Amino acid sequence: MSSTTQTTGTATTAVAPQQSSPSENYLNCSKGFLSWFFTLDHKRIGIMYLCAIFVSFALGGFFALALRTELFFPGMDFPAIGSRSPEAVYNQMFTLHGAIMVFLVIIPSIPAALGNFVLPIMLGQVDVAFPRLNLFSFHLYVIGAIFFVATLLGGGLDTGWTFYTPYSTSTDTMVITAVMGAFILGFSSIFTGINFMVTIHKMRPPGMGFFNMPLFLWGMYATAVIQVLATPVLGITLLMLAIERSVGLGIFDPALGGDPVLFQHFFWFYSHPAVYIMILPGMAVISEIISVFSRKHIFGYKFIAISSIAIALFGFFVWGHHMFTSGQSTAMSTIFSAITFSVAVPSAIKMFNWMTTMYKGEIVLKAPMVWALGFMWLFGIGGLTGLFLGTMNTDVYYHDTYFVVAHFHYVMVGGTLWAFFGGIYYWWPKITGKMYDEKPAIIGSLVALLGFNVLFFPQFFLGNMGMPRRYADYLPEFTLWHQVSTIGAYILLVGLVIVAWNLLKSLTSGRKAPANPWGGNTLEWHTSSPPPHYNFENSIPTADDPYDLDRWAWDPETQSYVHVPLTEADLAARAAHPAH
Amino acid sequence: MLTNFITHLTAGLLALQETTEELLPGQDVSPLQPGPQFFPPQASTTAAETDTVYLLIFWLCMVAFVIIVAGTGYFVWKYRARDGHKAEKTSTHDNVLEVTWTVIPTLLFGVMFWVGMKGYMGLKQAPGDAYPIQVTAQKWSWKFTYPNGAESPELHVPIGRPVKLTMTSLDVLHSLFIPAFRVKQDVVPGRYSMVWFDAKDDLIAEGKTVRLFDLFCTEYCGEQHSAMITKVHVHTDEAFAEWAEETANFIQNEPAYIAGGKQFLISGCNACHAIDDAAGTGPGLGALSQWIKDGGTVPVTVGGIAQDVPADDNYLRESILQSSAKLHVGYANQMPLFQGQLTEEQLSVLMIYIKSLADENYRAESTLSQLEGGDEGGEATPNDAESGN
Repeated sequence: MSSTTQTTGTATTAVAPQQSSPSENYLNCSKGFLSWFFTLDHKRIGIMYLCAIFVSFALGGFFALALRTELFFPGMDFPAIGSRSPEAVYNQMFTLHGAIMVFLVIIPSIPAALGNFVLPIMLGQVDVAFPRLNLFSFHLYVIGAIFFVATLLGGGLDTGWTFYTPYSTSTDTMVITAVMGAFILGFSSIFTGINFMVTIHKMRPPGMGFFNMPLFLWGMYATAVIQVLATPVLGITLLMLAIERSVGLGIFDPALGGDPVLFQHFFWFYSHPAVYIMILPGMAVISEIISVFSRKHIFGYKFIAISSIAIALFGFFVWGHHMFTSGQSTAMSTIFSAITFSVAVPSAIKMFNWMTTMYKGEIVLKAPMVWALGFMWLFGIGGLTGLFLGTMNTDVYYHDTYFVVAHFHYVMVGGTLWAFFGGIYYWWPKITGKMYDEKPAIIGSLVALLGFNVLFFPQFFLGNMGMPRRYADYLPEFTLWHQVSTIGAYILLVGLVIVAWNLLKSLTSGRKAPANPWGGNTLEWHTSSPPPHYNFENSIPTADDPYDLDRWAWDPETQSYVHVPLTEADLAARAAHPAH
Repeated sequence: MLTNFITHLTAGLLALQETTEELLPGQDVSPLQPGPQFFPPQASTTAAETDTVYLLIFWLCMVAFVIIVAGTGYFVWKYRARDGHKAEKTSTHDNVLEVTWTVIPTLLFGVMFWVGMKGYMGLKQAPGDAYPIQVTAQKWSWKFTYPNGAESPELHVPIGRPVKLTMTSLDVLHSLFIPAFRVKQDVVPGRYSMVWFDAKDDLIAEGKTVRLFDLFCTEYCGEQHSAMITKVHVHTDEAFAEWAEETANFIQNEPAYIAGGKQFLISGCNACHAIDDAAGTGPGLGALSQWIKDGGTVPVTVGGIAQDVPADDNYLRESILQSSAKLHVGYANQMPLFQGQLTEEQLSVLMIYIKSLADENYRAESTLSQLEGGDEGGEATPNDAESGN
């Protein structure tokens, strides 16, 4: 923080951009399909990701609703399709639900959509380090998605998103197409990771050391580390699977002399860290929102920042906790269980720091904050129920039951998706230049919160009762909680429809957004909404403490926050306490 | 789908009230003390320890969860933005606090790890005198083989005695899960995995001889994964000895078509094949037996070319042992290879059974429910509600 004292002088003289709103911005500076699809502008790429992710989310969500509807009663309610029995239809649907939601929605959601939009602006830059690579990432995403659609139309996939061998080498569904899709999406993810890593390393503005970065960037950085180091292992594994299927080279299939448990090791070596690719960006968004909407400097900055890196690193050594019942050795299971608990500590640290940030704050209950609070509760449940699964003998009972289904939905939906929506609402004025309508936004969030809990909390009970997952059909004693759960799914749908309607409506009838509607001090709030093509119209503001919210004061006249220059007293106080 | 669903809306609700369950002779159905928080009864000697660990973690989690919800809730209310209220400047870091909320969770996690590990070690170490049972899983049936050569599609165990299952799979991954015993272990092709348990000795009341528990497959294994459910029969010692003796010699002791029907269940044929004309994952066998009786033909594909082949004994034999050789038109190649799985003796009674299905009299005597010993009510896989398809 030593550099801030030297740089704040320029910050005080920086142009207050919220008053000027240039008529030309990144949305209207050029027109036509090609100007979007082949753009090098990180903001447009982020928006295209956002649209693609929403389309994928709708498709995955449709499958989820169909599955929950089927499960309302014991017995099969799906029709047979062609030579596929109702059970086979169900199996294909849960597979595609999982694969789409993981590979096309949750993993790219925050980094690729919001990260792409926000990261370069937070760094005061014109773009990411490699704009062409960034566009290529998006095109790979589209190609990967096309492979998934081809899988869906060309005969389906029934392996589960986990592709466990030897089932995946013996089923007659479209495994190779799906695996190629995941392989390509993996490269999309790797390239985004490389881009963000290089951008953060090499393109921080003057005055922004690593420990002056907004926590969002720490989260993106930790995520990028995992994307770059773990995803290639998934690529290699899927390639080996495709080779085994196509030319019969024995790697995983015992009939060919392979080892099916080896596949699980390879798969989880990626897919467990991938859980942190999903949740770290969520935590990153929450760190921003909690501070801004509590009107408080973030508490424990360094601990939150370092805990992201700790999660990214520990996350690489816990994959075996998915395999306590797989037949791996007792010694290995013990070691993996121990390391698993170590990765729980940094998450707890973050949670306590967020809560302390709220202490004695001025808490503004607007939509981003409502989603962020929802995140804390739901991720709290998701994280705590993970403890039962890291503990060895309780995991033996819970493995592959509905308890696990409930747990990971609390983490991925209650965690990542809640943070994603929080982030969308937080940056919506910046991205679109429009304010959404506050009341329906909050109602939508609360209805979704209710629906989500009605949907997934009963699944913990089902898990306790011993209901196995991936069952097209179930014994009558499980009926009650399945029915409650299905009702919850429809409530959640209502909540999400309100959210979608609220956001879309703002595009046409929303009030024009000011540059800084929330009073955040990260650099994206120092430019107009929506930003100009090159992000900053005049001079690029110099980085300051990203959580010094006193630099902004509410102006009722313009309904926005305006910049407050530092006083001599402020400068003196800073000189006295260089590290806050 | 919608009409199906509406039909179920009524049928499903009615079925819920139907609790007529045909009981096995000597079956104890008196309720057992349920486990905590929706858990099934603690029916094995290790179940209580698992539940205790669960409850320990549960209460610690409750404390943490209350701190999160009450803390955030209180702050949101107390410090809500309103006229005259401003955020107060407070310290932005505090190492004592950070260390406190790092060390306390770490210690608690250490406790969880330790008790969980101890419990797990108990699940892994079978007593040396455990009764050995061999388990063979395949899509979508279980076969349990006992030391005296008896085989059964449901698991039968003696009460109050450690039982060790040595398991392998003939095709894909499966997983054996008995909720009441709190045990689960994947069943992997090409290697053995092991699980042991000891059914508590107070499960069966005086005068009764057997109690049933659910056994699930919990590793996704394809189309009928959710029907790969069977029962664990816990017998008193005498009843178990009697059952094992009877079962080992069923081919010698029973009429061939009855023995064949039992072999049909042991080999899991019923997972895919109905004994009437109904189509399932595989064709119903009623039609086939009729064609064999009448000297008819079967529509098949051989190497992708459709043709009719004579329905005779050799077709039937080949289709049991290697169904892919002449694949029945309209069905996917899903059937496991039975070549080498069946002895000549088992195959011959199976042939006799399938051919007997054409005869109404035989068929009436050898419905699957009768073969299973009258426990069809409890046995009904969810699938059976759909008979007729």
